[in-house]
Amino acid sequence: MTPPPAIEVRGLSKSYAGRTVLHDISMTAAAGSCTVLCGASGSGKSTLLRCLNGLEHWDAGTVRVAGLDIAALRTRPQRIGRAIGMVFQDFALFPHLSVLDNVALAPRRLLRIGRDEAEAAALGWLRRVGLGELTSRMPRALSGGQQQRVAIARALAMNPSVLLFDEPTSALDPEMVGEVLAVMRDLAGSGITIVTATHEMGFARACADQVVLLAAGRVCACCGPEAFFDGREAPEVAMFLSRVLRSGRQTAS
Amino acid sequence: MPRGAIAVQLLVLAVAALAAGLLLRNVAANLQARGMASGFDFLGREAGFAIGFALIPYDEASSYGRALLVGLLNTLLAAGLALVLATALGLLVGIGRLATHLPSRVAAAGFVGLLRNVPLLLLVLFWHGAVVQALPGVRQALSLFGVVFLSNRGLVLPAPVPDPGRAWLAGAALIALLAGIAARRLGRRRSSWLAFAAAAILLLAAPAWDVPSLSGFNFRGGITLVPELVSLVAALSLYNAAFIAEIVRGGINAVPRGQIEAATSMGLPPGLRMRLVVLPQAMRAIVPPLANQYSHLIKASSLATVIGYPDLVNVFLGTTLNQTGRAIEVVAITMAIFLLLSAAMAGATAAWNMHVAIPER
Amino acid sequence: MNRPPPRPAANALATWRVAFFAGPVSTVLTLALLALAGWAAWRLLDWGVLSATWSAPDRQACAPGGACWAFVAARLPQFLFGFYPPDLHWRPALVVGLPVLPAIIGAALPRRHRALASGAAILLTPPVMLLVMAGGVPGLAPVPTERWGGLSLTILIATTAFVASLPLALGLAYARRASLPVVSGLAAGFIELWRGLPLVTILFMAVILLPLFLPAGTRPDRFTTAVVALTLYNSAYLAEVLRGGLQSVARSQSIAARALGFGFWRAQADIVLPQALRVALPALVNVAVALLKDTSYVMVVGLFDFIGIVAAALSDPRWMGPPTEAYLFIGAVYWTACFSLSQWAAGIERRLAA
Repeated sequence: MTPPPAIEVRGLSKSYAGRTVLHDISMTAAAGSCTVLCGASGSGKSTLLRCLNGLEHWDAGTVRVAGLDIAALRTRPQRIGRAIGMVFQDFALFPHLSVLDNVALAPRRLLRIGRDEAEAAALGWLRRVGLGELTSRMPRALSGGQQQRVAIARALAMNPSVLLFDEPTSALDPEMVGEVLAVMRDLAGSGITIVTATHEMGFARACADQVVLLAAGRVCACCGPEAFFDGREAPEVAMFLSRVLRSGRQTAS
Repeated sequence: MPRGAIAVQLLVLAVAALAAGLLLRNVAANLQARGMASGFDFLGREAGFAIGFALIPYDEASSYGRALLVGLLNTLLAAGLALVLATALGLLVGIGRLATHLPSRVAAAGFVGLLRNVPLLLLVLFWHGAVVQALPGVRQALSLFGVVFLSNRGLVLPAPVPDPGRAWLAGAALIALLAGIAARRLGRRRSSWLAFAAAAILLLAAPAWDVPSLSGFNFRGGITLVPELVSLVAALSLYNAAFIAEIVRGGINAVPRGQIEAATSMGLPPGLRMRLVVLPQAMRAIVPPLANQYSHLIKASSLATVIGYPDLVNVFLGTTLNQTGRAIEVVAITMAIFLLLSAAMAGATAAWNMHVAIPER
Repeated sequence: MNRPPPRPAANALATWRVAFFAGPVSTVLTLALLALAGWAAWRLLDWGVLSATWSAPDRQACAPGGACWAFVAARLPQFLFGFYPPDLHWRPALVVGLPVLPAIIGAALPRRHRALASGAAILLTPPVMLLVMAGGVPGLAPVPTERWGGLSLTILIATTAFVASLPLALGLAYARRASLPVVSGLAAGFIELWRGLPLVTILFMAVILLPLFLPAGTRPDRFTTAVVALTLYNSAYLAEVLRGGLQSVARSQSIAARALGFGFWRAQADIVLPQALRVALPALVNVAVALLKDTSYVMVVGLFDFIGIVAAALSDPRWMGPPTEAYLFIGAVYWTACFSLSQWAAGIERRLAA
């Protein structure tokens, strides 16, 4: 018997200020898989991502992630935070805490793990993302790529089964994109379910189990990477790929 | 709004109403226990006390309502005078803090550093007890041009008396003023200043002036600003000037360096640079804290009580309340007046802010 | 308009010349200011030090033309400790010195614990001060509030009112930012009420109205009334400062906290407030300085604070005369305290901007 999907979205709709932001979205993602959401700005991919962990509310439809009914748990962020992690475009590290404290804070306060144990675990996560020597630095002393990797370690420290990435490399200088994508590739094979909204098509081609194209709040295509990059899945896919390739946003992976 | 928000708000309102109700119940019980009457009718009753300085006619037979008016006018007079003086002085000192001339910079910094770190109450007491009292007596009063006299009994100024025979001069002044405004609109700034100057001179010439003259032990004629008023205005002006200086300095510093560099490279000398480029932009950062400071100044005028200047608080919240015992009514009226002044200040600030705001694209 | 291009200053002498003697007006001003400063300094030195009398039995014995510091010296214990029993003067003396303790604790501890320890020390200072002044426990004889006065009373009132207004101000700041209109409206109304009234009026109102508001029979003493009034007044200004600090923390911080699993209040305590307080600290200290100066207003409701007691001492028949020395003494003490606090705030601001 196949295990239940890690993510199950049915008929998700959201309107805001008279505009339809999400229209009847349905998708699933298997446990341990890597899903890439792509689409133009304003297509709704960030909103969809934020609905998955309850940061946004919606008007209709159901969202089940990691076995949790998100709609019912929106007022209990603690439950959601233990199962689902998120990495943001602007990193959002806590500037008043050191790198180590940034990663260790949530486990100490929310999982009630003791200070020494939490700091040891945090060190482990930081080593995993390649920043084991920078534990006592403050976030503002780090480069953008390093800060984003700390943010990933911070999200991992809660041991989530699902990790969401909201355009994690869009705010980075080009030379730092690679280091973050390397961490994400490493995670993609490790058993954790990943959903990422991104423009990095090289990453999608290399790691994604499914690619979802959104336009104007609707799912235009949802298929495996080969079919997607073939361009024949749907006319919108062809248009999107030609625009993306023309602007040279593809990175070598 | 999330569900249950309405319920929470209703609960909060209920708690607030309950607290208010409890307080009012206590008040009513206490008032009854002390046999205190209530009602606003006392405003019509005879006051029975004298006021040392009044801008409108007042004597012991006047009503409490009139006393209230006298106090309010005294407050506005002291605050108004102090506001003008503080602004002028503060502007000067604020610009002085940024001067290239080192002694001026040091003097300005010393002025600000000294006055901002002492209590206003102390300044008021100092001016009243040490400075004004140390002024010479009436017979040896200091005089300016022979028409203004300063002594320990106050500052005596010539008083304007309306003169029907020369009323046409006032009309001419008005015409000159309008001409000046029109000249400004047409862009002829130099002519407008001429017109304003003419208007001022005509206005000064219009009334007959009651010049004070020493007769016996005191001055006859003119208008006497009592020493309490002089001390209060002096202290308020100096204290607030120090804060206004810092506000002006902050506002000028907020103008981007690029603006000053561009103006200098255009060849503008420092005076024109300040007037045409720096100050108009600095006003954006100056107006909100300046309005805040004005608000403080108006409220601080209530320190008048300490030296016996008959302002609103002294006359109404002090003497009137003591004599009539109508605590709730007097307090309510006083609060209403001050809150109205604050609201008026806020409205004027908003209008002024919109005027100096530079529309951004 | 053809003017020669500005020449940069060639050397130190040229810079010095620009600073003092840049042009005719500048030169005249320099000479005038230097002359004025010199004359004032000499007059002050002569009156205040050279011709001054430092100890004398009464005003007649003071040398004329010089300051009569003997007045201050003779009444100093009263100026500092009010009407406190003389043999117990160590208690108000302790109160005067206590406020520096949180600063010392903060400087002595390592960075990790500094904020928490200083915060705790500040919060504990008023109850300790009140206990020491009032007594009533074994070892400390009780002293009624009517005997408190002078500088010790000023410091006690200022510290107590400031610390007491902190939780109230924090609550008001959060209420003001609430999304529920009733809550935010009530908070705004409360804040605008206390900010719109002069402190003198508030103190008068407190003295008149507080006995009426409380259940019949209770009669709060002047000290308590003044502290309550100052607390409410200060909380409104403090609330606006805290609100500014909260507003300065990026929204992405609370969003990231929520994504990690922090509930609203947890996120505020661990992530938002530490950042908000850091930003608001200079303004907080400025509010404290303003409160220290405003505490002098309690004189109008009959409390003998530092200024009040010195002003009252001026009516002593043995020391009749100009109050200049007394006021200068008060001014010097206030100036030292306020200037030190303002410089500390400026230092924090500089370090934060770095």
